[in-house]
Amino acid sequence: MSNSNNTRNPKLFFTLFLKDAALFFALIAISGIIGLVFNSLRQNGVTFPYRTKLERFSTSINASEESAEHRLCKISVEHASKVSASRAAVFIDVRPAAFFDAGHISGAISRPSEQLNRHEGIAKLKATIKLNTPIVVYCENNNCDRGGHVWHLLKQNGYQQVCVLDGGYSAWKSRYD
Amino acid sequence: MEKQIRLKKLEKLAATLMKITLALIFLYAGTIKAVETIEFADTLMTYEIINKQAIVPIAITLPFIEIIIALMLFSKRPSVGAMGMSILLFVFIMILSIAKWNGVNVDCGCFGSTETKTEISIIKNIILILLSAWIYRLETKQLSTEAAVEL
Repeated sequence: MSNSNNTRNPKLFFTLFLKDAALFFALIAISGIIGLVFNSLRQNGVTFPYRTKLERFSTSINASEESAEHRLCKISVEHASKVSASRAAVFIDVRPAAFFDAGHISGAISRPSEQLNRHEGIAKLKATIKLNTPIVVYCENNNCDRGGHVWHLLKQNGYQQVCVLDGGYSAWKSRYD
Repeated sequence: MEKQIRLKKLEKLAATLMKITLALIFLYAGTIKAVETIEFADTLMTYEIINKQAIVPIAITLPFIEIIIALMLFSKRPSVGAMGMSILLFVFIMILSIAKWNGVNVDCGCFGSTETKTEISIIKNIILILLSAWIYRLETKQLSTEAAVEL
């Protein structure tokens, strides 16, 4: 039999394929063990179970703030829906304007975090929304830094009742849209 | 005959260059993910496809799979590396496509400094999967020839 015929032998190809697949799955197991050891040895390893950026931010803020009023307030989508229906709070969308245009919570106003970061941005907000007005801040999801960041910014600027929408617009959309 | 030998040599050279390129890409990607495990876990979560309980095991295992299969390309059995790359890239394409289909906004700032449009990532992965599949085909062809000669 010539070499070119051998290379077209489907049985041989299949046997090699199975061997490769078995080796690959063994490599996955080895990688898992290496990953586990590497993660447990490093100082800033990831903890199990997974915690979102907002959860981590909440933990760090709540650990440093002793008074309850300075701790991060999270509002569930269900509760936020009732608040939105009764117009009891102002909803602030902190995502980029293009995302707001593509879809947002009814009645919400767009204030991208970059805009609020500027002094005139926060001054403008203060001119339109009183400091004692309840505010719900939302971003795309709980892995977006903007929600926690704007919550902190508003708190620093004297807003007393600020909450972050838990799960963000993504959770709202999957529930109500 | 001489032309065929020259073509074979050219094919071998191209395969070696492709193997080096793929290995470097996977080594880089794996190392970055291994160093920034938390950021990688956040990225996985943003796609809203993977179960929250599975995020950490994937985030700590995947970087080392990428590194090992990159090194496997230069081992005695390079076909395992090429196969592993094809499988991983296929999974990546599926995840990205599902995220895109579900309308998940992956360039909303949730990715920090490594923001990339989903469409561009899909195209990049398609090119890489074609390359790894080509290398796999070449390597298995060589392996099966060697195995048949041994028989």
